[in-house]
Amino acid sequence: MDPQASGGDGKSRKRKSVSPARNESSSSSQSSRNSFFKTHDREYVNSRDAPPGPSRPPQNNAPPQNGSSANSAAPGQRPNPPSNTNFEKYKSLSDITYPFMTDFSEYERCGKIGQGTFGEVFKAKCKKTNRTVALKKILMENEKEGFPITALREIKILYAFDNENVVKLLDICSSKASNFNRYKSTFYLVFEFCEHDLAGLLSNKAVKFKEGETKKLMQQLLNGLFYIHTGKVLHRDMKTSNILINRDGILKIADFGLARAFSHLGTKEKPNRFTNRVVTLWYRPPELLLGERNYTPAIDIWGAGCIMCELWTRSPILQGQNEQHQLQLIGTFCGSITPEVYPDIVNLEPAKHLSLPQNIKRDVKKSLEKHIKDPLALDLLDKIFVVDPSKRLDADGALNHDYFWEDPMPQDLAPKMRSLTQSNFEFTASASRQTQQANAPAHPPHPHPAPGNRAPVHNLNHGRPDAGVKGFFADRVF
Amino acid sequence: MEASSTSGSDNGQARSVMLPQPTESHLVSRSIILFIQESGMMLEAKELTVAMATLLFHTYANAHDVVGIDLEESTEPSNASAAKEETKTRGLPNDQMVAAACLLLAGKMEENHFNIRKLINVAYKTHHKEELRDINEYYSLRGDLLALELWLLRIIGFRSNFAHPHKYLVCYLKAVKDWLPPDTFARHPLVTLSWCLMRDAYLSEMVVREKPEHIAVAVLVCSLRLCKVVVPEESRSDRHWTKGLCADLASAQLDNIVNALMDIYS
Repeated sequence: MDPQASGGDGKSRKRKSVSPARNESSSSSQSSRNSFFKTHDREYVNSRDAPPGPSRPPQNNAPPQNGSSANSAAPGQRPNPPSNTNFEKYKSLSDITYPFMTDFSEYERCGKIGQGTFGEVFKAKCKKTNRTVALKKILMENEKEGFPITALREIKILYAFDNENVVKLLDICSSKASNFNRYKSTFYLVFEFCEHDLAGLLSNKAVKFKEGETKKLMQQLLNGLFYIHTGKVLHRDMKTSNILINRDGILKIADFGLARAFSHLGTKEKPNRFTNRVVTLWYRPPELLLGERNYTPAIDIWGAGCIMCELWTRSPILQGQNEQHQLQLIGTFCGSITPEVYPDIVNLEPAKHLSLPQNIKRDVKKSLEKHIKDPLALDLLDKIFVVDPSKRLDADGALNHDYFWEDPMPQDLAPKMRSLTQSNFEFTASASRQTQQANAPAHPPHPHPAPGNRAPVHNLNHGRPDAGVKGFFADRVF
Repeated sequence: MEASSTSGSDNGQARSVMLPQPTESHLVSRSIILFIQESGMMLEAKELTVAMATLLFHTYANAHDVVGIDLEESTEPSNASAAKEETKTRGLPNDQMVAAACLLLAGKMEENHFNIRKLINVAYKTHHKEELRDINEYYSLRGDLLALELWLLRIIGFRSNFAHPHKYLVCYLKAVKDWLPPDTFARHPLVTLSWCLMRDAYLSEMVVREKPEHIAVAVLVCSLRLCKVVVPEESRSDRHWTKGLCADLASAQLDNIVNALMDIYS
């Protein structure tokens, strides 16, 4: 009982030091909060007096390389003088220990494995448990609204999820706030580490999947999607670089940076109004391109279909250069998009301003025949690449398709994955390719890898401002 | 400071058995919670958003003791008096700033996003009863708010899932409605009363201590008692009727929560 009682005492005492309601009674408590937040005028003067330039650290936005350096830098140095705010007042907050937050210094960074406008991903090792993890940095550079809501969504969703085929969020850690980062700490999401991503594996010509292994990949992908959709979440960014595979051959859907929960499927009376500026262009389904905002989990299934084709073709099948071009590609692939095949199109305002290809007969199977021989796989894809989202197979329907229940049956991927000695990531694959091309072994990875035979960067970015242009695709299919 | 940091590691257990706060801080957090609720109302926030913001604030207030931030350390006596004069007209006190940050965060967590400019204006108006006019002050408040949000996230640490008792209450009300004689709900304002009690329950920091389903049962029991409605149950049964709603709630604990609820009005 004793420690609790003392805890209670400490509580009342310490609460006193910040509570405003008794500022009439206690002048000392008033002064304490004055000095913490209310000293703007004095600070303004200070910041004007401070010599600009020389004492400024070179990269004031960059997070400290490790937590300890941030800590040691604080006392002697003059705070970095910004234009209108003095961050010295946050100093008292930077020296506290946060019992519920893992500090960034507990992890040892090994190397970068991903890059995009969403942030950076690092491979790291936990010093305590010796476990290898992946750290995803939450980018906060241009956030006028504070902590990004997408990151909060990702955290909320991933903490609630627990499935073999969905990447696990282990922890969140933050770097110390110091005058190096203007007293804004950087947050990192700590994920379980997976050795490969699908884009990296497919770009590695040495990796060849057997029929059964392809089935296992698709089965796991759809299984993950089924779990996500049953949990009433839309992933909204299906693509090969977001599909991770570990060395036990377990596929995991990752990157919920664009995901969001939905409480109900939109109806005529109460439609959802989500943003349709989601999903990387090449994986974007026709309803999004036509401006639908009341979309359903079917958008992820379209992406899964694109990924499935890629398992054979090894490069994205529909590489449009802009939204209009993407729609044309879909038109030539699945036939003309008309009110007959997609009745809801008449309600979509943006669709009226688009010129869609007319009089093209639908023959998905024939256009894929060249790459895919398995008739059941073709049949499944035919049912996935349906323009009308309400007639598209859902994850459950796809899992029940004969494709997964006929010989050759899905086959464990672990032996193949264990045989790979090197990690295959899209980021490292393109970086190493670039190094080869540049013929400069010590060349550091370029922040925006732009290898040759690929759609131009600005076009790709079109329609997805917050998505990184990553990718390494040697050739086109259509 | 040291004592508090050592107790920090096993805080989860320590906090759950902690005695109710002394009256003084009880009053303090009440005024802040009322501030949050009033600002939330002016922002036209959803009920759950305001509830989340108050939950966040209570969590902050509890964690605050463990973390042991003593802002008095940063006091510099020389300019205390000068700053003191300013605060009467400028800015917001610490706790109100934290409360605004709680609202900002809660809006994001509950998909009920506030415009940060609107939030600052509303918070300022709620506290000072007048509009915020100075643009420089707005920018400094905004800088503080954004910094505080990150700091709040680190203190709270993404630990709990923060389930709300509201949906439990709705289910329990529906169950009791079918249980009671048909016209009971028509004759007594049970639903409205429960909802008011629920909102007031957030004034007490027990909302972070107790399980949401337990709070919902307690609110229901209170409103039934206030309306003098008796739930028909078998007289010989040794199980209280609330066990049917929530099996793991001991009657002693139920009494505790009901008492805590009533303490709010004392």
